[in-house]
Amino acid sequence: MSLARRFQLWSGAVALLLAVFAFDVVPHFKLETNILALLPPSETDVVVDRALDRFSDLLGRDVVFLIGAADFDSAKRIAAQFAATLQGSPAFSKLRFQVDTNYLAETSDSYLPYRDGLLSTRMRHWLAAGDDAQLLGAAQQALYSPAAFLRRSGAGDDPLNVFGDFLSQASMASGRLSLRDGVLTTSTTAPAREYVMVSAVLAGDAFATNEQDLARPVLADAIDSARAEGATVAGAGFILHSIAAAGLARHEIDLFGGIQFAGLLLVLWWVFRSGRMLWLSAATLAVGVVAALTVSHYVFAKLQVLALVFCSNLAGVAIDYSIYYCADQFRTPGRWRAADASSHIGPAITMSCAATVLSYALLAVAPFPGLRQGALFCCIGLAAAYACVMAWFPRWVMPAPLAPAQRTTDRFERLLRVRERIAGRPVRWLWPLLVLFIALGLTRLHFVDDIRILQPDTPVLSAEEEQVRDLVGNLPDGRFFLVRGSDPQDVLRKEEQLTARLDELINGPTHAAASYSAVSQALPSLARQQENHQLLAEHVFAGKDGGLLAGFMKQLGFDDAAIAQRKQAFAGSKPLTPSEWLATPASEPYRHLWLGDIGGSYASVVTLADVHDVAALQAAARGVPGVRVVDRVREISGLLKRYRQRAMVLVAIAAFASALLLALAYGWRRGFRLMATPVAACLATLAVFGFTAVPVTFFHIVALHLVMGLSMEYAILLSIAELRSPAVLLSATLAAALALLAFGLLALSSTPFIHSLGISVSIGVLFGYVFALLVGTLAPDRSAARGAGSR
Amino acid sequence: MKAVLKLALAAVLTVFAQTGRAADAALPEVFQHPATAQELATLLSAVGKTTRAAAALRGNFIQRKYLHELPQPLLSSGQFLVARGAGVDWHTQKPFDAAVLLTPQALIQRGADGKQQRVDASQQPGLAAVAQVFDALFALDIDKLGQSFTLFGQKDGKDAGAWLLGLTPREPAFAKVIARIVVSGATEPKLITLFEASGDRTEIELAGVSAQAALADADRQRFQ
Repeated sequence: MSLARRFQLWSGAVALLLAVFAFDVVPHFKLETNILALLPPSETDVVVDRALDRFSDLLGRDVVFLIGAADFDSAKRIAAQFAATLQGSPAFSKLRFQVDTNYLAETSDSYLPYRDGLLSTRMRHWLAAGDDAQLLGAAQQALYSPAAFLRRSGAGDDPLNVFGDFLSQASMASGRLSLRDGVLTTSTTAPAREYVMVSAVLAGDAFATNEQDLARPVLADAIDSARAEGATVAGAGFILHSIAAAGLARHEIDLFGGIQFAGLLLVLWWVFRSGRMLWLSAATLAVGVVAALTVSHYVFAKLQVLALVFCSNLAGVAIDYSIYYCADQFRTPGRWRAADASSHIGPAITMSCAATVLSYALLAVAPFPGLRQGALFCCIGLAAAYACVMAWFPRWVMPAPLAPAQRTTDRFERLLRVRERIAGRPVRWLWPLLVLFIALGLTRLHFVDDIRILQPDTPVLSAEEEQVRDLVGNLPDGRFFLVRGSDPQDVLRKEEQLTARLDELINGPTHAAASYSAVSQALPSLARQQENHQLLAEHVFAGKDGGLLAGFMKQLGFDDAAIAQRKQAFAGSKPLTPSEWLATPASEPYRHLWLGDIGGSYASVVTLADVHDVAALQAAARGVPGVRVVDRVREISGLLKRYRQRAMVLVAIAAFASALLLALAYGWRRGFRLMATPVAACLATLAVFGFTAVPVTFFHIVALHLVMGLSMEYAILLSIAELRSPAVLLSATLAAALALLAFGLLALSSTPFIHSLGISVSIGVLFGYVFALLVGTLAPDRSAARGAGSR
Repeated sequence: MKAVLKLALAAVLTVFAQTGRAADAALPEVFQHPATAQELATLLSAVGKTTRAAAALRGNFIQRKYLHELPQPLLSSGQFLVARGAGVDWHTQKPFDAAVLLTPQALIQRGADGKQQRVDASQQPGLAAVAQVFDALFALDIDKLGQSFTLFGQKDGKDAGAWLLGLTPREPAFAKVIARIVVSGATEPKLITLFEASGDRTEIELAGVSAQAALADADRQRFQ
């Protein structure tokens, strides 16, 4: 293809791309900031995963604040303003500040028609075991104790407190909050502070960017004005973390992107003295990013924020192509035409682009959604940037003026001679030393696969959340049970089997957990209701001496008519079904636990508070079919470990594949020797982590892909004898310097995995560049006549 | 988290449960005499410093519980110990032997067979509030009562130094359970009447009350 034809074709393609991007991609573009979406769906059960996602989504929408002040009245006043601010925003669908005092009465009323099939766990045990003394003792306490007015049912209407005991269980509490003046409060003594609670429910998904954009200013406004009045504000909720994470990422992208861009401009201007070259390089990058965004948008619908991190990878590599092309002018300063470079340095650029794209394409094999996006993003972006360089640069690049070009050439000519003196005098003792260094370092290597590497470190927020957890009390643990069954009743029966075991464990010697919440506590299965009804019929309303109720009422002094009336009321009872229950206010505290129909089967969640003995809970789950412990943190850590191992294998495969590709172009011997530089750079980087005791994560390994790609470029430029010139030394040096600038900045990120990427690539690039310098030039294989880089 | 809080809320409200039926009893006269904390302090001047500064109060009680469904009251009697800040030990001896230990942390019941049942305050937070109200009621801690109740007071005509103290809950949710409380006494509280919103009424008659400057170690241990 002629240069002119290439130019026309590519320019047309770019025009089309820009049109599509402007009119179809930009209006519909969506960014995903939920870092967990980076992880592959658990390979076993998509349906369950979706249900669990829904559960997490619901939990993720809740946010709780404790407004603290020295005295209760100030705390309440400031909390009221705080609540009013949030109330006015469309970001929140629900707000809780003043307590709904009718809730308990409504709950009692909801259960009333079904009361004769409802028993608390302990009442059922006593009745089933015939332990009348315990039951009567509890009934007496409920009548006579000074706390008797705590009972949930009227003493005359429910003398044995059977219904009342069930109501207490169904609305069993957790937490340390108490009610004062219509709001929920708690307090601490040192420092002496009164806290008032405000809670809100987000209108949309806590991870969606537009929700964050809506919520951020309102929250900031509410928090700032509360603090301005001297109150403390501590919050807990996913939205706070995701806003902080997104804000941090944005800040870092702005800051690092800005510095990187300024550095880039400065260096390029100094070397090439051409405004046009800067514009062309910028256009190349822009087309690369636009192409990558467009393709990602159509392939994935939502772009992960991590893919944007790959943006800097893309920029780091793509700018190299412009540099390599333009630096060719220093081969023949003053006499150079832009079109000359196409045939001279073009093939080397093609090779390095092919090898890098290949290595990223291999990365896309791993079923990690975020990685796939990143890999595709880089492949498309690099290919587009490469095409820009090859199509536009031959026509448009202007060489630098002769004088500065000659100066630069002379400078690098001298450097080239220095390099050749060092590399030419074989530093044989260096290589065994390097091997020893790598071997020793690798033996000290250790790995960490903790989910925390995914989250930015926000210590203030975490401390606040911890404080809220402490003050509010038993908030649910991250570990919970998933109960599945063929229909709603099956789920409830399984829950009942599970909670029977949990009751034992909670009261057992290890106190496996402090408490649990399960739908079946408030909604017994129909079978259980039937049993309950039977127990009541046989022991309470009839039976020995006319039943427990008659005996007790007689003892209290009720007359026969009252007893008969109460007995008569028992006859008409109806079963409580899930759909009826879900429609009552009584189900509200439990509704989120009921996952319902999850595609053919039904499921619910049983949450735990204050878990002490995971092993015992796991064992409890094993005993009941359809029940399993869900531990998202552990599962994700396990996945990270599997993918780290897979990624390590992929790096090895990529190295081998690249070697084959290079061998094809440069001959077997030279191809494999070229590959020695990137492989050594990767291994030495790992060795550094071994010696410095930095735990290696999945993201360090991913970074090795980039290290390999960049080091391979340097190796090609510096080691192919036919390319030898000050121009390629300049190219490689510039490229390495700019990569160091970009990734050195990423190493400053407070998000652990971005930091890992940055630090790995920085160290690796340094090694790759130095090794490529030291290896010296490699003459073409005697056997292989065809060398893509030769002229 | 919302649901968890809803649960917590439910528990808090538990204290103030029972659906309200207006009390039938005519309003005691004391509720026509609103009083400030200061006025009450003057009114209750007969109450000795020893009572107010006591670390613990112990004595006997007779409790009469009037259920609106029953013509005659449910009678019980026994001994009590109110340890300030630590809790209430309510030992019923008649008509059955049973003890309730009410602390800010938990409610512990012990039946005649010696078996214990423990309910943590974190599972039923209202308990802590009840423990505090009792604490303040028995020791006649006017400032503390003033936080939760609107105060009323008048002289009780019969004896010199005798007084009537009326309390209505400030908290609407609390008012749904306890409509009002009347305490009468002279040098010490003698009769506490709890008017429940359901129409039931509980009278607690105190006798042989003795104030203790310090809580005995054995008692302190029980509240741990």
